[in-house]
This record gives sequence, C-alpha cells and structure tokens, in this order.
Amino acid sequence: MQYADPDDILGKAYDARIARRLAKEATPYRWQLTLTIILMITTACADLALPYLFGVGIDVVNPGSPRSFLGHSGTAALNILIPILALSIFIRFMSYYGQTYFASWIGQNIVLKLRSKLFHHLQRLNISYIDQRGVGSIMSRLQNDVSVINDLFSDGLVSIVADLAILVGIVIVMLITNPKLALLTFAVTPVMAIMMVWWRKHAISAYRGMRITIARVNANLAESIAGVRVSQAFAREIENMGQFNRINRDNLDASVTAARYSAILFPFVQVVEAVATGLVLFIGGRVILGGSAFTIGELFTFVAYISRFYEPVRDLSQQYNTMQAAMVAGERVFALEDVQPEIVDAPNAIVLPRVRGDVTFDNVVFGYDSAEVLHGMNLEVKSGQSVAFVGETGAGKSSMINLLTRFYDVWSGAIRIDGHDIRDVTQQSLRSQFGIVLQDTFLFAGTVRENIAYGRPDATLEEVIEASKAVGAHPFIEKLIDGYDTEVHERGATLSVGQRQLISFARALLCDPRIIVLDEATSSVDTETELVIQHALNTLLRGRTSFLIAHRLSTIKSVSMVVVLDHGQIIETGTHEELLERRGAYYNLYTMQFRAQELQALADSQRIPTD
Amino acid sequence: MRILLRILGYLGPYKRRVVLGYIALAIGVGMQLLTPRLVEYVIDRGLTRPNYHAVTVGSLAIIIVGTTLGIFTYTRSYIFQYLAERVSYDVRNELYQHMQRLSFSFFDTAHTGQLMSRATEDVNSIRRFLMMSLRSIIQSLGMLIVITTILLVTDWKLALISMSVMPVLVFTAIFFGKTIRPKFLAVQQQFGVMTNVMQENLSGARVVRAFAREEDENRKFDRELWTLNETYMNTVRQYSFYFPLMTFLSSAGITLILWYGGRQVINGSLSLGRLTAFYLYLTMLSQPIRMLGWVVNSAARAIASGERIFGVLDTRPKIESPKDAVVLSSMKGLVEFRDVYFRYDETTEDALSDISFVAEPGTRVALIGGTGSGKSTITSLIPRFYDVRSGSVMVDGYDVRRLKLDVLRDQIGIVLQDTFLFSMSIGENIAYGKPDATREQIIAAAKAAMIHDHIASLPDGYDTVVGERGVSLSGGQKQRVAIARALVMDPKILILDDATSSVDTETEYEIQQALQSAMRGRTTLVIAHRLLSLKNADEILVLDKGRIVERGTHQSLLEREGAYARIYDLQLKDQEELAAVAD
Repeated sequence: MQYADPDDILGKAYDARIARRLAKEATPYRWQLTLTIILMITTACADLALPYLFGVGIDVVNPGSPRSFLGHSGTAALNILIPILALSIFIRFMSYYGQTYFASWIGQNIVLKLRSKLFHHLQRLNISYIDQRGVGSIMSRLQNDVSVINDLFSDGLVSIVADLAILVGIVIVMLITNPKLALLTFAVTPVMAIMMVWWRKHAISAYRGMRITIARVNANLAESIAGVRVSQAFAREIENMGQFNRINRDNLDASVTAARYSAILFPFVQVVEAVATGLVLFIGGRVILGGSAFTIGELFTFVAYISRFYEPVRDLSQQYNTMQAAMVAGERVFALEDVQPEIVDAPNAIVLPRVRGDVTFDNVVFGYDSAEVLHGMNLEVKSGQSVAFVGETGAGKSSMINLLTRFYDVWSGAIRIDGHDIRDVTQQSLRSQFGIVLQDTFLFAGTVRENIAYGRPDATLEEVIEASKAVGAHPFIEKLIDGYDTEVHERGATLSVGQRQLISFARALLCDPRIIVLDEATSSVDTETELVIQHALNTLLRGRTSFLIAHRLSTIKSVSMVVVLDHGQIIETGTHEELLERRGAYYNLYTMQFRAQELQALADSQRIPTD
Repeated sequence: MRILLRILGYLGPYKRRVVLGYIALAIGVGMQLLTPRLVEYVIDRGLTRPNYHAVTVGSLAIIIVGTTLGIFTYTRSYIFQYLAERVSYDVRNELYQHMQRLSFSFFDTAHTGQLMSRATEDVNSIRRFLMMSLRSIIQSLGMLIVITTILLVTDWKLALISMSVMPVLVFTAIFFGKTIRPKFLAVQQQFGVMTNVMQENLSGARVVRAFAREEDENRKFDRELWTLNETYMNTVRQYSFYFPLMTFLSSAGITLILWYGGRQVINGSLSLGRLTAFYLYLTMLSQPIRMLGWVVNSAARAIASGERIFGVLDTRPKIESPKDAVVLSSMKGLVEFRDVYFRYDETTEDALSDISFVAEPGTRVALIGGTGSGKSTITSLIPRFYDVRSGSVMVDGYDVRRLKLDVLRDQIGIVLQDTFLFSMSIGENIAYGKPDATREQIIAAAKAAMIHDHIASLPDGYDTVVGERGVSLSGGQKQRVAIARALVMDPKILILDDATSSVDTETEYEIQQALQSAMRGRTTLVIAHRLLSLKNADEILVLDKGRIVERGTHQSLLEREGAYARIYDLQLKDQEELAAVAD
C-alpha cells in the first residue's frame, strides 16, 4: 500500500510570484499592517528597555560605584527610574495587545475575503471541474490551504518582524555598551546556525516519517471501521488486528525517532546560553575588575540579553516552515483561482423568454478530454413530446442531458431551443426553463419546505403544498414530525429513497418548467411508493417537453419517443411497441434479461438435489 | 479524577521510565535554580569586592551547570515524548481490537466519523497531555514552591513584595485557560458549519446549477464566513489581551523589586548580587505560571477525550461466543427460524415478529417485501450479527447463540447489495475471509463469479489494488468480486441480495449468471428483486412490517391473488412481459 501525503510536497520558502500575489491580498490592509509593524517595534523596544533599565538601577544603587542617572544619584535617581520603568512596561502592555489584535484581525479579514472570493469563483466553474478534482480536494483548498495563509499573516509575519526587531535592538545596545563583549556574544551565533541547519535536515525527514505513518494508521482505521461488518461477516478480526498492529508499530517507531530530534533542540540552546553567559561573566568581570568604565549594571544587561538573544534566532528558523507552507498553500489557492470557467455567457447573450419547448440537436459532436463520445447527433423534439434515452453504459445518455442543460458545451454542431442556440442565451435564463431531476436526489440541509422551494425561494407555503400534492408527496410530509418544517439531515438521511425522489419531483414541479430533464433513479422502493412515483411522473411530464434516462419499463412505455443510443450514435427511434416489433437493437437490449432466465432454466435442469 | 487516574494507568507498564523522567526533571530544575545563585556569587564575591578567583569559579560553574541542565533536559524531554507515543500506540491498539469485536448494533448507532475521531483526535489530546502537561504540572508547581521558599528564606520582605503579583498572575492564567476554551470550541463549531455549507454546495453542484441558485449560495456562504470571523475575533479579543496582561503582571513584580530592593541596597541591608538573583528568579517564574493555564486546559481536554475513549472501550460486545461453544466444523446447512421476534436498539417497534420457517440443506428461500419489511434483518440473524429478542435461530439444529462464532461465520457466505471492498489487491479482497487461500482457489472463485476475465485484463491482474487509491471498479464488477469473495470460502449457507440496480443490461445478465452458479449446492437465502430468483425458489416468504404475510411458491402465491400478486403486477410483470415478447 502506497500512500503519498500531498502535504509533504514542500517548496521554496520564498517564491516571488506567489509572494507578490499574497501581498496583493494584503494590500487593502496596508495601513493596519503599517500600524501593526509600528506597534511591534514599540513592543520590541519596550521589551529591551526592561533589562536595560534594571541594569541602570543596579548601578544607581551600587554602594561601591554609584552612577548618576539624569543628573541624580542614589534614592533620587531611583525615584525617577521607577516611574520610567513602570511606564515602559505599560507601553509594552498596550502595544503588545494592539499588535496581537491587529495581526489577527488582518489575517482573519484576508482569509474571509479569500474564502469568499474562491467560493464565488467555484460557483462559476464548470461541473466538470468539480467532477474531476473531487469535492474533498477542492474543500481542502478552502479549508486547510487558506488557514495556512492565515497563519502567515496573523502569526508568521508578526513573529518574523518582532524577532528581527528584538535581534537588531539587542545587537545595537550591546555594541554601544561594549563592542568587545558584544562580539564575543555573537561569536556563539555561527555554532548555533550550524546546529540549526543540521537539525532541520534531520528533523524534517523524521517528522515526515511520522506524518506518513500516522496517515497510514488513520487510513487503515477509517477503512476498518467502515468495513467492520464485512470483517465480522468473514471472521477476519484477528487477522485485521495483526495488520493494524504492524502499521501502528511503524508509527510508534517513527514517532520515537522524531522525538529524539525534537528533544534535542531546546537543551542545545540551553547549553549555548550557559556557555555564552559564563564567558561574558568571566571576561566582563575581568574588564570591570580591570578598572574600565564598564559597570556591573551593564554586565547584568548583557547577561539578561543573552537569554533573549537565542529565542528569536530559534524562532526565526521555525518561521521558515511557516513561510514554506504558506508558499505551497498560496500556489494551490491561486491555481484554483486561475481556473477559468469554460462555460460563460456570450458577451451578447440574450435572456431566453419562456419557451414553447421545441428542442433540436443539430449534428452534435461532443467528448470528454480528448475522447469523442457523441459523433454527430441529430434529434428533433416537438413541444410537449417526451423522449426516453436507452442504451448501454457509455452509450451517451448522460452526455445528451449534460449538453442540453449546458453543464458542458458541444464540440461542434448546436443545440437549439425554440430556434435559439443555447450558447446565445444566458445560462440563468436557459436553466430556469428546465426542471432537472437527478438520479442521486440531493437534498440540502434545511427544512422540507426550503428544499422543495429550492428553485423558487419566494414560493408561498400554499404553492409548496400544491406542488407536493400534485406529486403525491403531501401525505407523507404531513406525517413528519414538523410537517413541512421538518429538518432534512445530511444528504436527506432521515427520508427514504422514495420520499427523497418525490421531494425532488415537487422541487422540479414548483418551478413550472417548460422542459423536464430526468435521470430516473434505479434504487428499488416498496410497492406503494412505486405506485405513487409512477403517478407523480405522469403529472410531471404532462404538457412538457421531457428528456428521460429511463430505467423502468413502465416509464419507457409511457413516452412518445424512445431513442436507442449505441457508442455515441442514435441507432433507433420509435415507440416501445414499434421498436419491439422491429426486432432490432432495442429488442436485443431488453430481451437480454430473458436470456438470463433461459440460462437459469438450464441450470435448474442440472441441479442436483442435495437431500 | 477517576478518568485522569485511568489515563495515568496506561503508564503502569513503563513505571521505571516514568521515575527516570521525573528524576531527570528534578535534576534539571535544580540546575536551573542554581544559576541565579551563581550570578549572585560572581557579583557579590567577585565584583563588588574585587576577586578574580571568584569570577573565574562562578563563570565556570555557570557553564558546567548549564551543560548538565542541557543533558537532563534532553533526557526528560525524550522520555516524556517516548511515554506519550507509547501510550497512544497502546490506546490505539486497544481501541482497534475492541472495535473489531463490537457487535453490529453498536455500529448502527455510532458513526464512522465519531469513531475515527476517538482514535485520532482523542488519542492525540491524551498524547499531548502526557507529553507536555504531565511534566509541566510537576515542573511548574515544583518551581513555584521551591522559588517561593528560596525567596522567602533569603529575604522575606522583598520576597513578599516582589511576589505580591503572583496570585493575580496564577488566577489570570487559570481563568484564561478556562474561559478561552468554550470560545475556541465555538470557532471549531462554526468552522464545521461553514465546511458543511461548502461541502453541500460542491456535492450538490448540479442541483445548484440546475436551479440557478449560485447567488443565494454565495450569500449563504458569506453569512457563515462572517459569523466565523466574528466568533474568531471573539477569541482574539480575549487572548490578545490576556497574554500581554500576564507579561505586564510579571514585569510589575520586577519593578517592585527594584523599587524596594534598590533602597535596601543603598542603605546596605541587601547585596547587589542578591537583588540580581531576585530579578532572575522572578523572570524564571513567569514561564511556569503561564504554563499553568495551559495545563489546566490540556488536562480538561484529556479528561474529556479519555471519557469518550473509555465510553467505547467500556461498551461490551453484545455478541460473543459462549464459554462452552459448540464447534460446528462441518455444517450441513439446515436453517430454521422458530417464533423469532427481534427489535433494533433504541427503537420501540419490533423489526421482526413471529418469524418461523425452515430452509432444508441445499434449498432456496426467497424473501420479498418493501423497504423496511425485514428482509435484511432476517438474513443478519443467521450469522448472528444480532441476537433475537425471543424465539431462536437454529443452524443444523443448534441455536446460533450456542455455536462458536467464527466457525459459524466461516461457513456462511454473504453478498450484499452495497459491496464494500478494502483497499488491497483484488486477490486479497477475494481471499478476505480465507487469507490462506491459494491462487488457484482465488481464480476458481473469480471464474465462478464471472469476473476472472476482467481481472486478468487489468495491468497487474489479481495484484491490482482497488479502492480509493487504486483502480476503481464499476458497481457490477464490485458485486461480482463480492460474489467471488463469498464463494472462495465454499460456504454451506449463502445469503445474497440479487438487486442488480445501476448496471446495464449486459452486466445484469452476467451477474445473474454468476449468482446462479453461486447458489448451486448451498442453502440460499436470497433477498429477491428479480423474477428469476422468485420463480426458482423452493419457498417464497412475503414480508410486510416484520411479519410473514404470505408464503409458498411463485405459482401458488400468484393464484392466491394476495400481497405477492400485487407486487407482481406492479414490479415484476415487466420482466415477465419481456420474456413474452422474446417468445
């Protein structure tokens, strides 16, 4: 079993093209961003002021070598120093508060706009894009990838700027106070950098191993839970446990390896810090004892700064990951944004007025990707006629319907409704002529009423009830706990298959469409529902041009024209009776079942009684 | 607390490592606490009273202490991470093994998603708790107590003044930990709502387009996005205030030290080094205190997760082999239902009432009736997926509750309409119930199920991986693989659903053929949708609302002009007419 983890495809930490587009997303907030950066620098300054002022305090109170502060010394100096100290920690409180708030605010707003923009964009994209990419993969763009970009704005950038400000601040203060000692402190930095590089190299592959193995554990778990009934039916439990244990064990091993690396970074910093502190005290102490201008307070500031010096260094290397992840996420998000809808309204598209319902397929050629599926279809349907498409899987039944509703566009030829090429009218006005009932009756979370009124949200309750009555759905809806206000759950799970079908009929009927497109459901329903559905279908089709992918013989018998498709061509048309009499393709198709019965008879004659 | 103890109980087998971890932790904390003292030593002994030797000794000591600290930090960090990983491994294994044994009724009410989150999210929150909190809580409390003691002993007045902000800090940290959680949960929840809207929109994209509702969908999504934004900013308002507040409070303590301690240094009652040590100790304290809020949070989460995990682990499998189980190793295939009543958990009506029938070895019984009439329920009682409420289900004269479960199930082949295949190779899928099946046996079963030719045409033949990450099979192909999977076990009893919906005529024909060959020589219970299965059944049971309303052969039932005849007229006649046309 090979599971590639798409999250593991890591790219550069900086990609100019993507960075520019990310920056563009942030442009509307440039003032807030500027303010945030100012606040960050303020915080960093105030942050560094604390050890500095305390160092000054030490010198001021030092009985051995009292130093004056703003012209005062001793208690008087202390009395000036304390309010300044208090003020600086209060400033830090305010600026820290502001920076965190604004950074999150900016991140959230960027994310909001981005998600909204992508969602709106998706509504314009073709069905084919969603079909190809899959719902899960598109969702992860809007969920995870956008969240990663949020991390960059609300956390990553903040940290990078704050860390840099602190580093620069420390370097400046140290260099001014004592350049020699400062250089000594910085001398430890290369060691630190080398260690970081080494660590990153190993830790990344260790973490990768951990992610891959846990993904396997989860995949196995998900499948085992989903298929637990099969496992028990085939008494496979023990075998499965062994298999899971192996995968789980791999994850344990990988995690422990990763633990070895993740445990080492912090202690290493501790040691580096201790060495730097020891060296500074040793050399700085000697400098003080040697009688130079260097003071104990300044030495203290140095020591205090050392413990603040390595944190940003370590942090910055972590931010490398944030940047890298944001670049990858940005690339995926922008790739989605750049997908152009293939089906767009023509610039001079007209609004299709309410049609009579004459439909013409004029030499229609069509295919998916590069494979041609329909090879020059010609079909003329008069207003009010009903047409059933029959044929093997892949014969082109669904394609005909996808083209008519303009979910896809023809390669060549044209489809005309009342003489209008469907590419010359707006999609909105085209689709509002149709009542479309799909095989998989998809219901949205919401009430039964909302679902029936999906195509006409402004419909009154009376109209909804009327439509329900017409298709025979009213009796069962009435019996639901809250009647028309009953909540329909995820994918309509609380309703039976038959009930969902009836609701989708009512949904289509409420729009009073001129043309019905129906992909008949194949699922078996109980006898009573079957009767109701047959009746509802008649109501729905009456007086409307209709196109059906039929699965029930009763449906096929009731239409005015059966169109037999084979490998993307129309090979026969006529009514059910006519076609049977012709003894052609239709006849063969539908007597296949009978042959199965003959075979059965043969099998029966050979059946050996077991008793 | 009980749950917390039970979580900690998982550390039991690794006692020595736990002890070792805490020893390393204690040494580390000791080293950490030594450092301010050493700085104090350098200042007071070496600098204010000039002494080169003291400076050298002090500096060197700091390096040694720091290095020791590093070594022990590594040790304890590795040990606690190891323990956390080890316990998650154990818990996951236990959960998995337990779930494999739980009965069908459990899975009827529990959703896959929920169970998944038990084994992933919940295990993870326990893992995080063990990795961080378990040490943080001891470390934080330890440091808090030791530092307080050191400060009080050193200079109680200065200690009290500088630590006066501590209680506020502790309170703030814990208060924050508690109040932020519901806010974060609200964000998660709203994120879920937004995700749902998105998922529905994408899954139902055809419907959205068909009804030209794109604009309304945009508005709906934007509304949820704004709510998410507000919920999120609600947490931001809180944490963007609390973190700075905590930093502010700990800095306030430092200001107090300088204010009071500074005066004391001036009048000579406090040494300069000691003042510095106070500063260092106090900065050292703010970290563990901030951790406290975090620990409270993570412990609460671990307890909630533990509760959910133990909820699953404490569910006893309702169906297990009895102690003195009869091993029915060579079954004849006699199935009998005697006055069976059955009811699903958490329902108030019987799903089956008063069901009695006998299927002699090698005969066929067809079940027919609408959705919810009890057809599938009857078949699921034979392999004992559920237990009856009263009456008994017997195989070869034994009540199934007396039989050894895996031996019973090994001799029953099941082909259901919704065929679940695992993401492994087709060969492995066919051999699912008999992992030791030879390639010849697998191929023989595949041939009988009319799927061999297709498998052979795949790039890797029987080694082709199917499922989400492999080759996708059509509904009809899956169904035939499922038939082969049942056949490879050479079962005495065969349960099948002959629905051939959503396949084309050609495939339907092949499936029909496959089914006929599958039934030969076995006791078969078929949930019938096809006229063929009904005509050939030795007995047809017509079910309605859990009761047998009619029984007999196809011909005798038609003559009665009852329920069966009605179903026939409505749903089966088409098939008959086709036969007539072909004549």
